[in-house]
Formats: sequence, C-alpha cells, structure tokens
Amino acid sequence: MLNGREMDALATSLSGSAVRLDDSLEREFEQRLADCPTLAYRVALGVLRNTAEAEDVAQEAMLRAYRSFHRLRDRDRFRGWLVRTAWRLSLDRIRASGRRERRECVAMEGWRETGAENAAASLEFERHVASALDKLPEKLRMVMLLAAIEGYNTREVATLLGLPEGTVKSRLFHARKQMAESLKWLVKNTSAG
Amino acid sequence: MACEKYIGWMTEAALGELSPRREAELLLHAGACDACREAYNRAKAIAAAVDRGVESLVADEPSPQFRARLHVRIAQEPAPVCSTWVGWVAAAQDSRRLIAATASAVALAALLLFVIARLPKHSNPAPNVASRPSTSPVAVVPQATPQPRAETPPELRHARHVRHPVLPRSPDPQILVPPGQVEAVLQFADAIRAGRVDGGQLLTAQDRLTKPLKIDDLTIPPIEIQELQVNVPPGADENPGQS
Repeated sequence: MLNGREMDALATSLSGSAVRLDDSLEREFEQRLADCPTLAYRVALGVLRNTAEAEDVAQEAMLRAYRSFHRLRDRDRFRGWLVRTAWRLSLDRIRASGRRERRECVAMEGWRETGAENAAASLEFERHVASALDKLPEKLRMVMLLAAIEGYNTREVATLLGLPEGTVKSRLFHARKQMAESLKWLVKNTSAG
Repeated sequence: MACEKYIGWMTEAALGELSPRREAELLLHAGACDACREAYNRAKAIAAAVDRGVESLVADEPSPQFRARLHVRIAQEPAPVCSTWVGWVAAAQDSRRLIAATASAVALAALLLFVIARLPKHSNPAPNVASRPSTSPVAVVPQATPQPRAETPPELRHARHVRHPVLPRSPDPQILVPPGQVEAVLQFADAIRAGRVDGGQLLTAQDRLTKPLKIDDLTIPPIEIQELQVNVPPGADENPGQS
C-alpha cells in the first residue's frame, strides 16, 4: 500500500502534466498502484529469477498498464492483464538474451556436481526446483507460479487467467505431478542421507 | 500386486487429488505395509518440497526504490488521452457518461448538417479585391462614369454567402477582380492613368457595343433566267448518220 506521503508525491507529479487520465481513471489507477506492482514483480521473478531484471519488467508492465488503462473496459480484469503482460515481457527478455538456456545449463551443472550431499541446502534446492519448473510447458508453468503467488487459491488463479476453475485445477495438478516426478530423486536421496 | 496398485496412487494422494474413498483405502493399506507407508510419506514430502520450492522462488518483495522509480517513470510518461471512440466507450462506464457522450455526438452531427446545408452548392472561389494604392493622387478608373449596376451573374450569386475578410475602407474606388486577373487589372488601371489608353473612347465603344443589334429582314430577289439562244450554223442540221 502507498502511504500518504507517497500518494501525495504521486498526485503532485501527476498533476503537473497538461492532460492526464480522467480523474476517476486516475484514482482507479492509483488504487492499482498500491498492490499490483508486487504481483507483476513476482510473476517476472518467477520467470527470470533475477531481482533487478524482474523489477525492470514489472515497471515496464505497469507503464504499459498506465498507457492502456483507459482502454480497459473491464477493470476487474486488470490484474490478469498485468500478469499476462509481465509474463510475456519476461519471456521476451529471456528469448532476447538467450539466458534461459544458460540458466538451465548452470542448474544442470550444479545438479551433477552437488549430488545428494548438499541437496538439502536451500540454494541448491531452489536451483533444482527452478530447473524443474523451467521444464514445464508454458501453460502449466504459469498456473504453477500464479498458484504459488496467490497461495494455491485456484479460484483466484482462474479469475486472473480468465479460465474455468476446473481447468486451472487440472493444470495445477499436472504441473505439481510433473515437478514431483522430476524432484523425486532429490527427496529420496535426502531421506537416504 | 496390491502394493503396485497403491504405488500408482501415491502422487495423487500426496497432491490431495485422490478421491476420499481411494485415499481411505490407501491409508488402510499403508497402515499395514511398511514399504507403502514409506512411499506415501516420501510422496507427501516431495509434494511439499515442490510447493515450498516454487513459493520460495516468488516470495521476494521488490526493493524500496522500486515504487519510487515507478512513480517517477509514470510521471514522465506522455499523457494518455481518451481520443478514440474505444476510449469513449471505455470511459463511459456509467449511464450518465454514456448519455452525455450520446448527446454530444448528436449535437455534433446536427451542427455538421447545419454547416453543410449553409454551404454553397457550387464551389465558387471568392474574388480577390484589388484596390489602387492609396498613395495615388488621382482616381482614374471607373469613378469618372459610374456604371449602372449590372445584375449579378448566377455563378456569382452565392458569393454573398462567403465570409470575406474585412478590409480597411479606402477612399479610392474598389473593384472585384476574379482570381488570377489582379495583375492584369492593375496594369490596365495604370495604362488609363498614364494616358496610354483613352478611357472615354473605351466607354463610347462600350456604349456602341451595348446597343441592341438591329437586323433587317432578309429579302432575296427572284433570280431572272434568260432564255437560252443557240446559234446554229447553216447546213448543220443534216443527219451525219445518213452520209
């Protein structure tokens, strides 16, 4: 949430322009500014796993939202629109830099090198989870990430993506199942160790 | 054999997707089978690890400078304006806005129709107004003999609907000049003023030209045709075929 000082600063900076969004639209967008940037940031972070890049992408997504806010007919779908925008921008950034392949290679190297001994270490564990997540099909991966962000509330994820709740539940199940299959060896070795 | 069936249910059970009846059956079996109980616990640990791992990937908060930078960038953005009809429709969320937008559109259409109705049907460019320079001491052109006011040609009748720029009034006579003929008229006025052209003679010639042309009836006298006289030499009337 924006505090009063931040809101004042934002209002001052916005009022300096000649023509801005309509007042009511402006207020609506300010409300979105309170919580939506974090959502965009987390979506980008889930894809990019780099805080600086995730912030850049989240800012770009919010700027696009600001530019197109007056064209959005159903404002209740703003969060879903923002999530998809942040997701797409993140994927574009990965494709542009070819960083995904590089990141997967790093993860696989760590996988082989560390083995069972250090798998319990959280950093390595996250790396393996990230690698398994990257292997998911895009539809499953998006649902998996959003479910993690929204606390596995399938209804909210369904609302965000504009999908039936049953579809989200099914995708989430398959995503978790595939990831569990991928990481089965990790937990087995951990328990064995 | 029974264990194989339950092993296939483990992941679904760990993810909470197994039906209650099957889950109860699996738990009953796991209570009596050490291997299946261990597999079930491991499956649950894997599922929890997956969820925990994915959550940890996205649990981060943006830096404190993130919002400040975002506000600055938004403030620097060029202003988005609701200029398209899509924007109007999007902006017209409530009925009052929709009514106002509709009323504005109707008023605009009515104004447009009014303007179109007032426009002349034939495009007739406004004639230029050429006036003699005010520094000239003598007014030469038509003021000497005022012309009778001629009836306005039909193609110029619409000219009164055209709004002309208001020019400062000059004591010198002003004449309306068709577009493109300003230079010629000025030269003609200079010629009259310099005496190279006799204005009086021109007016006389104009009077002569304006008189109605009288045409007498055409009378054609009958053509007289004289009788043909042929001189025949003597002895020429004999038939040459009989010789």
